[in-house]
Amino acid sequence: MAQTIPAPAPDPDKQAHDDLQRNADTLAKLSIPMSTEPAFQFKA
Amino acid sequence: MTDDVFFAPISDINARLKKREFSTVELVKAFGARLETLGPKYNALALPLTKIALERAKSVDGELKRERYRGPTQGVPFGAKDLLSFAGHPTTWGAKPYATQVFNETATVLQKLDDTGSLLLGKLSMVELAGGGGYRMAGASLTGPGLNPWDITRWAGGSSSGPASAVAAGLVPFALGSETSGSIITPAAFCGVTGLRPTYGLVSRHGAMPLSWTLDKIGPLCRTAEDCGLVLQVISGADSNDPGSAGKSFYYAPQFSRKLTEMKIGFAAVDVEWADPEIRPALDAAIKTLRETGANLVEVKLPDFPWSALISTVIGAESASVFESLFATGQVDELADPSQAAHLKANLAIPATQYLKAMRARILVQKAFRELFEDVDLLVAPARCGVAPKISEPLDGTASPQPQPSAPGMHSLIPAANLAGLPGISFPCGFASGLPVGLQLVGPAFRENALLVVATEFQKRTDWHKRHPLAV
Repeated sequence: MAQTIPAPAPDPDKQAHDDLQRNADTLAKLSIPMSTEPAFQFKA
Repeated sequence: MTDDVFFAPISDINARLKKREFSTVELVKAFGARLETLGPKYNALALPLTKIALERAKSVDGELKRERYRGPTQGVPFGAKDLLSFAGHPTTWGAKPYATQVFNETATVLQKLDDTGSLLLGKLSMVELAGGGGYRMAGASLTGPGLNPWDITRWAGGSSSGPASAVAAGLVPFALGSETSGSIITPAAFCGVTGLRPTYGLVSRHGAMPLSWTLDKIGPLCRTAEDCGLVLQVISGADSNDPGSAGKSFYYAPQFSRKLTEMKIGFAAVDVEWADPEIRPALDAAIKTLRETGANLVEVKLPDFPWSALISTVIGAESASVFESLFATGQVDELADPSQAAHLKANLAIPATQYLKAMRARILVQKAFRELFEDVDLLVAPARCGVAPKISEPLDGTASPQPQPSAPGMHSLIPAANLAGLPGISFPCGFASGLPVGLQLVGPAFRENALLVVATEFQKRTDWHKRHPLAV
């Protein structure tokens, strides 16, 4: 069956960079206590 | 053998094999023919493996004849998302740059199913690279858009498109999919099957394509919640080959779970504002059914975090490292969806400090969920806000206006639960415009039995999961 597909975003690279910047701006506002370690463990 | 076997639950098939109503060879032949005929019509089949399964079926029949029983899935054929390696055969990850990739090891989960007498009937299609870059089109796959068996102008959901559509269409009794953030829950909801996302670390990912090491999970898509429990019991367990393994097993033991009348299930009334109006009656009826089970539904609030930014940062940074060679060779531009390629490349610029901040936030996310689960046993929410979208529409929300509800409710439960590593299940709770509507439950880590008990009770009281589409 012939399928119509959506047109690609006009400028995918710009969209990707805008999305990245929006995430960076959002996380910049997030405050985390200095004592909080990341959610992974190094095991010796 | 009658056609009802194509939509029978695992326990029923296994019982009929033991009674010699039909043989494993006959069963594999019947499902194999169906998968190879109908699978391509849904763009669900990546690689048929019927011949190999038939050889294996002969030995399984011998075991059944000698009453050498290996488990609840013995003799039952299944399909696997094409991100799980099967030694000596192509594993494409749904992406053109990996179209000829062959591994010499079989994924742990496939080996476990083989050890217990289940038969891999075929590799099933998926969104390229499990959609890690953020894709805009349903056609973001080596095999074309995953078509929904309920309406082939609609998407099957992603990234486990083939597993969901193959189970829905009765091409396999169950399938294995994977979820990093929504890739089991979403296609299960859109195709009207029951999909279980296990707790992070409960099921080995050895032999699976990595997308995001701290988020990836393998789980079953089945006809019923009970089937999900049976499959999870087989595929779970410690694996020293998986650094993320929790070292735990799962035993499907619904009889030992807390009674529903003693359970508190958290929900957010505002969720209905997020849902498309056409699916609201199904959601309302589903909540009513849940109340009728005796469970106590109480209003709760999801912890407040920037869910989308957190999960995008973690997936983006980890996948940029995973697929580094794809960027070096330029093959990233061979991906079917330009948007996905663009996002994957852009993710190389995520600063280490941003990734680490997201990973530190996950500790706070886990703490917030632990506190939430001091008050309730489980959470319930719509699996998706609407039915399966048309494959001709972009998936980034630009096709229709977004609602602006008064509060976030559980709208972000999929990324939130994935960031916390929590198990979830999606099961059909009604229909709208002839398409399935899904409900999701989320529970504390390693409480899969509680999810399965509630979903099973729901399925005893409804027949949505028994409905199936007409073959194309």
